[in-house]
Amino acid sequence: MSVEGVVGFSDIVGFTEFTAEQGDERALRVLDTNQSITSQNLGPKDRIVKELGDGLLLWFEDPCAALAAAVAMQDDLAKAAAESGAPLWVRIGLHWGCPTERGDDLIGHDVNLASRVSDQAGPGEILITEALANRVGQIEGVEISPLGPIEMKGIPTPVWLYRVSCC
Amino acid sequence: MGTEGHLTGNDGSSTLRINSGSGSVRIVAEDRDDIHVRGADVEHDVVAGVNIWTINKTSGRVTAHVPTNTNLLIGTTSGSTKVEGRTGRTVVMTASGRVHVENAEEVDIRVKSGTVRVDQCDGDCCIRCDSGSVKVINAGACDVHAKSGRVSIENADGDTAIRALSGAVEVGFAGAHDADIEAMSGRVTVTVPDGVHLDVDAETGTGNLVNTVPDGTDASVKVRTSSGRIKISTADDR
Repeated sequence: MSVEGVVGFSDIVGFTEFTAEQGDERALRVLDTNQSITSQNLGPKDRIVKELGDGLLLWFEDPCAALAAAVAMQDDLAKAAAESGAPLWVRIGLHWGCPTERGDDLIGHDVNLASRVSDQAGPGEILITEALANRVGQIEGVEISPLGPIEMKGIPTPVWLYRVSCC
Repeated sequence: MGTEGHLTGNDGSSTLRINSGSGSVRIVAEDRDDIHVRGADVEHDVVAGVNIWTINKTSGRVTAHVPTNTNLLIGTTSGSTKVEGRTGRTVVMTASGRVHVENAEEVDIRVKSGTVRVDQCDGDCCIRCDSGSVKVINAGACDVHAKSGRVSIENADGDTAIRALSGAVEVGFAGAHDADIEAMSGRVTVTVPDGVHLDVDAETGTGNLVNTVPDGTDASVKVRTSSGRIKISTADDR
């Protein structure tokens, strides 16, 4: 059964290199911190669908709530990074779509697309697709600026991306 | 194949969007009122009073001559992108290829594989480069992330944040501006003008730290690197 909502991917940039340099124990702490901060910022109807190594597949029912959560996550991660000294370089990609449920999991084109969107983001950054940008409109304190079309691996047509930042 | 159109405004309110597959893109911003495109058709639309010109092309070289200060949104799969002359907000996203922007109001450049060069950027300079070097000559505030490859910013005139996985980072400041630099490995060099006093917070895992800038509060510089030397100095000490 397909469900309509926001699919998100977050992952830690440079995690492989960080693990190689700093060791498994520190890497595990970074993973735990990321997951903890993510969980704290999810609404009651949102969830972490699954862990994917250093990444998380996320689900949000409401587009505005998804954006607000992502902004809050990045804010909290930046604070945690400043306190711990560990490079919590998390990038987030969000897309509005209709993925298919498979038990607790989500699969489908929209999931793949959200994953590709997060690949385009830099550390501490949130990128969203046009499909999501069109649904959120104006949010106070949040600026959404167009980045342009990008062809992404495995995605047949170019996708317009937008950058989300605080203003 | 070529298309010419007329841009009604030359005040930065016009935008050229290019969606290209493989092949190079060359934009020439110059003193003119119209747009001329070689190698592709161009569609025109007006959205909220803004002229939007769109080029969709799957392959082959595209050259567009546009008015000075035109905003650019360029997405390509592969091939080099060169933007000559003065442009407005300039956004380039490419999976593979060199990007060179000569003179823009602000830039946002995202490259999976390829080098990035920005000669002049008055405002915010945002660059993401997975593989390849980044070189910025003059810019305002800089926000740069590079996975592998050297990052060199010669003259930043704004607060600057850099994240680099591997490769040397060199930043020169035009004035007293804050810097937040994190590097996994590779040396970090920060240079400020003479007379600037810094609040420095720098730590390196295995390299050494050299700071010859007098303490003060003109600006704060935070540097973290797991391995690699950190050098913070004035232009005279360089």
